[in-house]
Amino acid sequence: MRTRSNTILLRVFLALAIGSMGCEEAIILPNRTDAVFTIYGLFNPKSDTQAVRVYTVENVLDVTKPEPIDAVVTSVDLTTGDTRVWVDSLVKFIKGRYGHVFYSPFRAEFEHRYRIEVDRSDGAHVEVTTTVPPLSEPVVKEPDPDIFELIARVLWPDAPNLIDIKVVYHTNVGILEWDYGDSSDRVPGGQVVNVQFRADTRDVFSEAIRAGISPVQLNRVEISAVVADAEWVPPDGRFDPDILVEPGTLTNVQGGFGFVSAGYKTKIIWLPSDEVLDVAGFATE
Amino acid sequence: MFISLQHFPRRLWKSKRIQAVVCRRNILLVAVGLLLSSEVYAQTATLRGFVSDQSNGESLPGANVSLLDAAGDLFGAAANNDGFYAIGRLVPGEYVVVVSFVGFTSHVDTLRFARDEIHSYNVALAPDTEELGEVVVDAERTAGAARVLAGLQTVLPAEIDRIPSVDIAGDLASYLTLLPGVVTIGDQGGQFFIRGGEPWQNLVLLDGVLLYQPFHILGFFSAFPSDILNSVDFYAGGFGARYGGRISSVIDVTTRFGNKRRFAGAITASPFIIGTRLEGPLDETGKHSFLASFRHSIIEQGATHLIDRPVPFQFDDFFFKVHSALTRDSRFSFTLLRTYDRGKIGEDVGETPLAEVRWENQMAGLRYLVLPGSIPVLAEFRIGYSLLTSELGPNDAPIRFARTSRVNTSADLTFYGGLVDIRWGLFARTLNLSSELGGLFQNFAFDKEWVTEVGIYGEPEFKPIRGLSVAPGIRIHSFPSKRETYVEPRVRASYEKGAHRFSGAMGLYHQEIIGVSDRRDATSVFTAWAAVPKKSGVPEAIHFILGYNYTISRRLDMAVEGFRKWYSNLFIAEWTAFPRLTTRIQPADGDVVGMDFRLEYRTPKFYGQINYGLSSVKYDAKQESLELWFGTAKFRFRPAHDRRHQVNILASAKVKKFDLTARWQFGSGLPYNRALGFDGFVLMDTAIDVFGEPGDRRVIYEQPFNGVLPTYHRLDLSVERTFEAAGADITLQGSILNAYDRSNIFYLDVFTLQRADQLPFIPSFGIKVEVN
Repeated sequence: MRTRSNTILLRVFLALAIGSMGCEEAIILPNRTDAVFTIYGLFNPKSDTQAVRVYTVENVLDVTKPEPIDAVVTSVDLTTGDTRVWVDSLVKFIKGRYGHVFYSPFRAEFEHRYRIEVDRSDGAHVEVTTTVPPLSEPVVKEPDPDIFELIARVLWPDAPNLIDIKVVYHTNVGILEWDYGDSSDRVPGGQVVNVQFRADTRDVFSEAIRAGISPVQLNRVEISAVVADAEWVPPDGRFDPDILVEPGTLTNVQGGFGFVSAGYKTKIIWLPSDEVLDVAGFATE
Repeated sequence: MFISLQHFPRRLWKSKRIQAVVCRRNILLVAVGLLLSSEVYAQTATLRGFVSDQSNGESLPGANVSLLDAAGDLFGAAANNDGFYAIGRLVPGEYVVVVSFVGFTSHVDTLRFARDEIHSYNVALAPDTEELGEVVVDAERTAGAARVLAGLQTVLPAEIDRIPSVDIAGDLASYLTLLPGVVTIGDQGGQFFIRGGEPWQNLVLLDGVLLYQPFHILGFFSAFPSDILNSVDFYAGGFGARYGGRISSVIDVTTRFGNKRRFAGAITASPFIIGTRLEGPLDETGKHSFLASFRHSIIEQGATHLIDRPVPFQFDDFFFKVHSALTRDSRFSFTLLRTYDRGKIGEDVGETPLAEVRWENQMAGLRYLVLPGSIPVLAEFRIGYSLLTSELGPNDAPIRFARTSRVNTSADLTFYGGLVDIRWGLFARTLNLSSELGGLFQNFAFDKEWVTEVGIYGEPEFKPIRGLSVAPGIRIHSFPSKRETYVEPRVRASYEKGAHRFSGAMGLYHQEIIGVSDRRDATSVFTAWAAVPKKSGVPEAIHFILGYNYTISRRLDMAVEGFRKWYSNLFIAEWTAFPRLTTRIQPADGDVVGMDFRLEYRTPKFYGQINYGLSSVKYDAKQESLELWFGTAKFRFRPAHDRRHQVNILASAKVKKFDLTARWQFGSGLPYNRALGFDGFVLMDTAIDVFGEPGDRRVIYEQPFNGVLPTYHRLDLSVERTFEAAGADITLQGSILNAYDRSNIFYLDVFTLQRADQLPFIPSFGIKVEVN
């Protein structure tokens, strides 16, 4: 009886062991994505050359090599019908990485709508459409010296969207830069940025006291922003690379990934009035 | 009335551990009046002492001490790991005492107890060589895989030795992988995931002193070779109030005393490791002994030639213990351990060469055990020191360095009261945590930290009726330096009736000191220990276990156990599409549910064991960006150690003079992150110049851990024969690891799609020369 049960156990054991030898050893890989290209870039009406970075969606992550890319990039001005085939350039970036930047020597027109198309020789196709924002030059409205916060209102007329807003204070203590991100307010006729003059310059005075500098002079204030296409808006209001890196999070490319938009940099230099400077605590001449 | 020994069935004296003191009369009366009433105890006597092996002075855990009074009532207790036993609440009078243990000649005597007497009675049993065949079988029945009790399994060295391994000497690490619910990512790294818990959530104790990373870099080995072990209490969950500070499991290792009668030793050699053990008396009194063990890996010089690929591992361990029976009622021991590991995990498959990881454990522990003369109490006092240093990167310029040390002082007292044993204790600790991690690591910007801990626990064990044991407990664990206190209720219970045994456990657990590792992949073993930052929640777990054991026949046992663990405030890797990957972490909750099934069959010449584990581990990730990415604030996924199905089959037979053993393991595939492709990412946060902006590479992942790796299975075989020559036992072993050369995946590099496999077919051999 004992021998019999031992034999049964042994048989079960061997059957399991031998049976499992045929189990799949290879890893079943998922179907790769249908996306073929990833594109980044912008139409800049203040540049005489337009350019986009084109990535091929690859199956493995390999060291970038100076190899040709199977891609043809074409732009279409949907307002005029003008079509251009862009030129490929292989760029060696820092750390020895290579990348393909396609460019075309023309100036994008304000308020024109453009489409970029990228085609592979086998017919795979991606495209993206964007609109160049209208020309907008910022205008500063002086703060009311009777209001403690001393808020300067900067208006970008007709601007559909502002990103990368910066306010830089040049003083005899040093240069102080504030990143306002994309914190503009839409108003009838454009976008407004409320510059918090008193709050921003508080650190200047702290630093002046620490460094023993007196009087404190403000030489100028530079206010800059990118006037951008209305669609150039991060999904949760922040350009956080750890969030936006997720494919599909900020993308407008059909058939692929990436983001192509339109915009241009603007800047205004503001010299506050003596009255405002005086109220804020800066020396006046 | 006096009942002579002849009236006792012989089976009784060879019976299993008797956990409960049995009293057939006046149970209700005693239960009501019970407990801790000095008035009551003043009327009764207590018998206590140590049971040891006469041949070497080692303790005999599980030895059965029985008393029979003139009225025919039977009282009993089982010896613990120290060989200590106690039987309280004895009515003054004359008793017959029988001390028995399988494999030893029973000791019979007549004792008379006076009122209020606390009678110390130490017994040394002589081995009974005639019964050896059955002894092995019966002794293991006190432990064994199918004797699991609410998550607790007691492991004996003989069980460990049975596992086929690349080394002739057994090792606890090999045995643990046999158990259902214990998951390893591979045979490298020494990381154990126990019933859904992560390696840093396991409490590993050696003679009561904590060890941080005692498992060697090659998964077959640990700091615990079987021939220094006395026993191992392995709690897969549901551990009682005496243990704390970890939220998954406890591996409580107790070592032997060393031979108190004569010198003995062994030398082992295999292509993987060489080792030596030496033990013996320190003087002629037979009261003091030492035990020393040293092992050193020779993989790079030996095993590499058996495998067609480099195995860049080196490790060693040194163990030393002195044990002293100071007086009849006191014991003292001093334990030292040092381990060292160095190696590179995985294979060089990518652009970046593998970084070498090194770690060293140092541990020292003092233990003083005393039985006060006037009260029925066992008191243990401990001082322990543990140190872990870890490095990652080149030896002369490590990228990361971490050092963790802990000094622990504790007192544990057990009051033996008959129908209730009360165990309680208190502890005070100080930890010194320091690290240089090359910047922010896992969101922890820590470098040096002192942490103090104090606490107290109480764990009475009630035994109101025969076969029933209920041990509710409470642990109050405080961190004065962090102004945090945790109150943790626990309970363990079991009921045995005939061949059936039911058990259950539940408890609340917290872990303030956490292991922070580079969680980019499962193969990383570099761990830095840190206190949970103030702003973060402390990892917490609730365990629930229900089990049933059935002794089907004298040779066949089965056990089934269901479990659930709820985790909260866990730390898991943040998800990112950057291929450089982040070492940042995100909060998560966990839910583990599963069951184990074990079947054990024993005859003197055959041993078989089948274990099946079914489990599901789910994490709810709470990364802030999940809402944006997946449209949900919590994302439920299977972590990389969620092995759904596990089968382990072990068969061992004596054929003529050979011991043949086969072990087959099966594990369903583990989850992994699947990549759909790779492209680039340029942060479009301004009017960038694409000619000058290099951008980053990017991985286009499926949803996290959506893929499943291939199943794992492997057959290991070994054959052993022992000869006697020149007064020594010489054992020769031949073994085959991965007998059918299965390509079991260790990990997949999702970036290059290259896989690294676990160890292939490896023939090995070993020799052991032992003098006893």
